[in-house]
Amino acid sequence: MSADPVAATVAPEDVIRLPQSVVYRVFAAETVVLNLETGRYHGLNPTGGRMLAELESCGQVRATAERLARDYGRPVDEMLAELCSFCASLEDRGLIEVQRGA
Amino acid sequence: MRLASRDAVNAAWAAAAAPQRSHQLVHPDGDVLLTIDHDEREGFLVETPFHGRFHVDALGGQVRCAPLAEAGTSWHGLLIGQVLPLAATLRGYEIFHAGAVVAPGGRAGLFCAGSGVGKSTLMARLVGHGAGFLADDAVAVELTGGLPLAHPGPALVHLYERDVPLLGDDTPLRRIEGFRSMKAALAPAAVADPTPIGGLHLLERGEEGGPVRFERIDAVEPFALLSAIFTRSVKTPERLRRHLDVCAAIAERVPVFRVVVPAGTGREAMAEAVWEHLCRP
Repeated sequence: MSADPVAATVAPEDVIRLPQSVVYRVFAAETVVLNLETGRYHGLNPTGGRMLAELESCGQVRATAERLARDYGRPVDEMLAELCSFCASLEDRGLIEVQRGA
Repeated sequence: MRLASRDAVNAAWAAAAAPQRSHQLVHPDGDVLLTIDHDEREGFLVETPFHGRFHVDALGGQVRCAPLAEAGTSWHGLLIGQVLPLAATLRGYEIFHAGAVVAPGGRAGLFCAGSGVGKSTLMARLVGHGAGFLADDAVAVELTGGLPLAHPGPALVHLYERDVPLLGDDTPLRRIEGFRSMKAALAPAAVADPTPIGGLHLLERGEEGGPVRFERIDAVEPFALLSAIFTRSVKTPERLRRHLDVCAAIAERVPVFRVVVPAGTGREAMAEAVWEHLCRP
């Protein structure tokens, strides 16, 4: 079985931070993430926006997943898998930095 | 802002160490219609083959205009539509492609629309109803204490000749004679002070029939705001952040309305409906 190449790049113990060159603002419809170096805008739906805000607040992927799982009433493992995949996607776009194996 | 010779503008721009093409408008037949070049130290050079060359310094504090003699007064359009918005953006304002008036309650109403919906005619008619005039086509917005303020722009409205008589003889707008352009130039009495924005109205044409509809948008699409700006040539991190902040503040603090104008609605009927909406407490 081949692993998802994107989801495999971020692990539960990894720690996330936003680079200084990335800012985001929460709108009612979506969250807009802006890379100030490239001038590129990215839209996140409200769930993605919440994930990003919690990641910025918590740092560690697992701790963030546990908090989100509690708030959304979902299994931690399920949330963790989604969050790892989400982080990989953000990292791929240069919107977060990942400190691996922290 | 001052008039300058082409040589003076060329001399100023000659100091540009590493100018780069920031924006270019090309006609489908290949003719270049507009170029905007940027140099980090010397600012921007705006040029068209019809109007001349315009230099805006890096801080937006100085504008040197070298219009072509054959351009007559037509270069004023480029000045108002491109050069001054660029200078204002460099000075810390966000320029929205919108018209704006001050409603009876003292708040600014901004109106965004695609071409042909009748935004300029609407501004002129709202002034006729008693609104204060802020801007016809480009509205400078800044945040003060998190509050979006609309600044008065040039006291100028451009209308097609056929629309001018429809304003009526008692219109408070004064015609500016000798203004050579595709459209007639009219001067309203402009509001002097920056005004808190009380509403953003997105005008669109709808199906024929029925009244003009005002639909409150609770969750405005952010990219509808982000794309409503004039100047894309200034790409510094400070400006990009400010642009996002201004749009976020508008989305959070300003009521946004979709205004659906049914096809076939007369310009005055549209203006009356909008005026009535603006007059509501």
